[in-house]
Amino acid sequence: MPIPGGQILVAFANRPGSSGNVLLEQEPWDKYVGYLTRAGAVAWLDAMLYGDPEEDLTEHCGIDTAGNVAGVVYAYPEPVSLNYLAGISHGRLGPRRIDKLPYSEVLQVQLETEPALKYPTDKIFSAEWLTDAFTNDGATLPRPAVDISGKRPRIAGAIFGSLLVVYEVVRHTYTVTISARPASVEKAYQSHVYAVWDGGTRAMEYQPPDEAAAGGRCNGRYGVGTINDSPYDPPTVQPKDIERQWDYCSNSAVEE
Amino acid sequence: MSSLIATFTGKTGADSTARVRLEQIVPAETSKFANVRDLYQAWLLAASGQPARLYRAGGCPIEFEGSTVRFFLGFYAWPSDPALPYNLTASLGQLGPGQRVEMAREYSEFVDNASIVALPFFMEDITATWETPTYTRYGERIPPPAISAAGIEAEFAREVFGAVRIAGTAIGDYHVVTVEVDKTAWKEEGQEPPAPSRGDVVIVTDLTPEKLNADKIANIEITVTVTWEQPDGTLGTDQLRLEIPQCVLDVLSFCPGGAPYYLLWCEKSSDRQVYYSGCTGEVISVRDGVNEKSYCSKIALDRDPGPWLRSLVR
Repeated sequence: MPIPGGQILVAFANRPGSSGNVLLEQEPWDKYVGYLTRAGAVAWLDAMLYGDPEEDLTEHCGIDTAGNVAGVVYAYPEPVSLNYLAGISHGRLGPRRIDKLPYSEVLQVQLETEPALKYPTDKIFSAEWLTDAFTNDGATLPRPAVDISGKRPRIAGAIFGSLLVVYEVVRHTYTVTISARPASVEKAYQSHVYAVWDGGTRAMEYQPPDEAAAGGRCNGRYGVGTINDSPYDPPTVQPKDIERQWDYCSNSAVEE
Repeated sequence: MSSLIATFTGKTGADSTARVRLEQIVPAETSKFANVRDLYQAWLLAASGQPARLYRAGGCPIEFEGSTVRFFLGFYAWPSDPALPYNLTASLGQLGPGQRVEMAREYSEFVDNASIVALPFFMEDITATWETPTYTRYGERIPPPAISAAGIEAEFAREVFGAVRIAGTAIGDYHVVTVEVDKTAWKEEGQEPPAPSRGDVVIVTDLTPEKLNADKIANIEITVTVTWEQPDGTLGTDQLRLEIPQCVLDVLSFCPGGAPYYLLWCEKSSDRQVYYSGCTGEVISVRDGVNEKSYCSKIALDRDPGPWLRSLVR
């Protein structure tokens, strides 16, 4: 809703003459982080029934034993040589690691002659049509040539079709370590990753695993010798000490 | 690459119109699922022969009274001004009187090239602290601009890019919708529920489909509507569809015995099985005699339950 007294300005997001962008991406958590899988439950029961009491009975919830969320974020600068500063609002970023990776992407071309790629690149290795080329009304056309000398494939004609493009991705990898804010009443692990360069800014909220977002109570040991920290106090049966006389030589109980 | 941005140089990003925001108090996403702690508690209960209803995952807002199942759904109403009057209605259940709350809230806001941000609640005693260096939209570092935060807005001395941590006392109202449903637990005719006893604990599963779904309650939807008067005399309205926690849905839909089959303890010498209602936790029957075809019997004949379990049940 317009605010009285406000005035509209038209501005460029980047200064004239400067350019660039940094795509930020979080490495997704494994689908089952924070959840007890069937295999995990069976392993726990197995450990309780037959296993070593010292066996690891913890569950994997995305929080390490020190209580930190540990993950990974990627940055894709454009141009790939862009000089930028990466930061995090709470936590630590590890040193930048630069990888050059081949990446395959299938573009669903819909009349664009310069379709955008998911990641910025300076080098396209190949482009191959996976389908025939079609007109707007479904007629088949000869597959148009694709020029891969630039930063995007250039298609010699506006058609519909699927194009497999293999290109080089320059990926900057940062490890993320986030500790809980000790005095926080909520959102203890909330943090943002950002990038700043001459001409622009970019920010992304880092998503901790659900358990951490909810307060981070996980990775407790629940088994032999553990403390029950359940919020209520259910009745339990306490093991009783039983004294027996045992014959050392025959390794059998002595009848009383 | 440059993009065209249209901005207000007045208050950017915030909306000072009167409003009431509804926020449900929901269990954490992962609390819908069992974890190792739940297994451990169930294990201890099973080994002690206690009814299953004594263990519910922490925070499940439900209670039993005879055949009545009662559950509670709580939510906050956050008016943009604590003095703003508003009306609430619920599509199902009994809406209790509101209770004024003043509670500590805290969060991080990334100010993405703005000079003002809206707060999610009316807050007092606000502290706002920059968590990052601050920049212009062109990436130039600037001194952290002064922050003026009060009520439902935080305003900065200039447009800025940076993260700020906001904490304070949120003022709003707490409401509870109470829903009662009659859910008569099925019992096998002629069976008197016996007292809990030491023995194997098995949640009953061998029911016919008709019995399994005899008391199933599903598709409950509850929507809360809030209305208030705007400064210009028009009526503002908002709705919140309340999420029913999974633990409540389980009780409503899996009755009397739809819960999965749990075999928590197998002892070779045991000849007693205790059957529970997966709905109310009532003991339905106790049966004596070893079923040689059961998974329990099969593994009990071959496997040692281990020293810890043996000591637990002596």
